[in-house]
Amino acid sequence: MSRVRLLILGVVVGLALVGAGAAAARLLAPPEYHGLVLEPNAPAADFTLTTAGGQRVRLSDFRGKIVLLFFGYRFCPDVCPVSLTMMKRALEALGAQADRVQVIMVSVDPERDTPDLIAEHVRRFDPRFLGLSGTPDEVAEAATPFGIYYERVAGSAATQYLVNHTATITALDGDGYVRVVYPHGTAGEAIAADIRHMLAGRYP
Amino acid sequence: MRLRLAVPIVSLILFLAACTPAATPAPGGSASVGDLRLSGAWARAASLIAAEATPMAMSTPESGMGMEMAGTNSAAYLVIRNEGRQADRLIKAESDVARAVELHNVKMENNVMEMFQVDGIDIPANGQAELKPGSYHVMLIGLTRDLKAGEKVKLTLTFEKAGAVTLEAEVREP
Repeated sequence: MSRVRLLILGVVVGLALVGAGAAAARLLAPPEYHGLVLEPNAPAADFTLTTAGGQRVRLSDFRGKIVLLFFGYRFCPDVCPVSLTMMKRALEALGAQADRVQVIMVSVDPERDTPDLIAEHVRRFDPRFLGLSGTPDEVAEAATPFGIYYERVAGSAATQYLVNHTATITALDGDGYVRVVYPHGTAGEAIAADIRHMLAGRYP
Repeated sequence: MRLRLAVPIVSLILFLAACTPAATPAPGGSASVGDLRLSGAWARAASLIAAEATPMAMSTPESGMGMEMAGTNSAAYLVIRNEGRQADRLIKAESDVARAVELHNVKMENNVMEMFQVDGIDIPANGQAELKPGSYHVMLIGLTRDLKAGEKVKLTLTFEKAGAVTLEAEVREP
């Protein structure tokens, strides 16, 4: 009887040790991120664009925060709302830590998306989101350094034109370095998990 | 006595069956028309923006965009199952919540999203077409009212062979 108890105790202690070891390994091992991890040697190129009320905003205004940067357009009913929703879910998953994150959507359709319209559009998804637009030249200058491609293509009488565009989400760290690029459809919870690592300074 | 009661009941059932049109709307965003079973219809919540009423400061003369083109859009999705031996094709979508309705598809190449209008969406025999985010969708262009989560939106879909059917799509976030 006591031998059986001893055996059970041994198994329990053994399992606990294995569990603790696995947890320690997880803490020590470099985290796995959920997007394309980049290691740039300089901060991303700065840009200045306009938000609601004509207020000028620079990307570098958000140094000290993680920035999730997305380029899209308001007219886009299918892909862009998914990206905005994923970023909203990321902020929700982060809870209070979301204060250290700024989500920015830049319109690649500045002709239709005035600063007021794009700002209000993204606020509908989450009031913490920032929507930016500008002159076509300003938008091009902002997008190019991030490898964002966009192009106007003819639409119907109702749509007039559509805009093909890169639908990635770029994550910048508090120093303005591009750290991760997420393909379209990356889950908000996955982005949130990476942001927790970034906030703790844990990089792959 | 039992027989006497059964006759009117049976005739009532037959009468009702005869009255029921080929397209039968059913609750929960589903409907049937011919061999097609439509289900899981939903539309993405979206709301008109107050700023749309103000002139567009950024619009350039060459863009020629009228205010009516700066409206808010949304999309609707559903699964269309074809239980027949004949392929069919969704060729038209209509809704009273938008100024225009088009069928669109999305192509993603090297992370570049390309949305484009299509003439129709094939429903293979004994197969199905799935309209879903990042793929085929019904594009609602220029909403005439806010689409709030929980509301219902009427969609009329026309198929090449099965004809037209109207169903209700539930508005959902996102």
